[in-house]
Amino acid sequence: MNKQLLLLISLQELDILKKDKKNEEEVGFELEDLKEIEEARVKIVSELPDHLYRKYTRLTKRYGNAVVPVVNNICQGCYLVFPTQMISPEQKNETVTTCPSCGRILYWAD
Amino acid sequence: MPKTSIPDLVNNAKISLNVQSENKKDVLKQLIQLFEINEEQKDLLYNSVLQREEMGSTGIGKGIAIPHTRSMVVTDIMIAIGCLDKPLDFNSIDGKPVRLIFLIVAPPYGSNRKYLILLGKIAETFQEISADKNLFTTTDVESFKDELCKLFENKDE
Repeated sequence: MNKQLLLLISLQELDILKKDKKNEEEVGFELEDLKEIEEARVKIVSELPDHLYRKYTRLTKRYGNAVVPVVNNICQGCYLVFPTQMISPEQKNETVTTCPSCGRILYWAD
Repeated sequence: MPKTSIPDLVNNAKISLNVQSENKKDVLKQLIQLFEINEEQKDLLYNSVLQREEMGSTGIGKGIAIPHTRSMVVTDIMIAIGCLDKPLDFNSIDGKPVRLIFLIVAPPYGSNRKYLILLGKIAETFQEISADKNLFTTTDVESFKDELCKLFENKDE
């Protein structure tokens, strides 16, 4: 998998963890402060090119999620069906690709 | 929103009734290995589960742990269940070692209500019982699933 895509996925999963904290506490889990998570986040951001971090931030602000999976050739962000020739099987997850409709960053999950 | 059916999820769960492990990280890795995803996805999932554990142990006490995370590598909620041959320290809230582990993974997109409801139901059910009571004496996976489904019957509303 493309390293930058891997970083973007990791970044989003950390942000989801942070967002879920309050909900988890309501369910009954005891969570500590987010120091380690913040440190891990800073490290990921430092490894990402600026333009990709800006894109991630912009998309997250707009949609709530910047990276979305593609399942059965369907963007799980906007549900656009991609033509099969849009990307070859070998290229999937090997470049940072965006949805031509919503602009979200794509991860082929299947 | 689809109804959260714990018996359906249990019936589709990946189960190992004789997990042998000496530490928390290793047991999580073993449970992730049960999922039918590729090795790269397993690594991503493992990191995500570990990061969640760093925020606070999911050992809810009474010998039970419910590690969980939301990850891009799954397209629907998946569960792996492991019974440990030897109780394992999991930094649980009551300090007791863990014998039964429920690993729950949900996709990051869409409504998170289904995932949270599931987590809540499992935690609530297990707070009323104890894995120390040899509740799961069977060595047969199908019987184990039946026992587990019975436990959740009253909670699956």
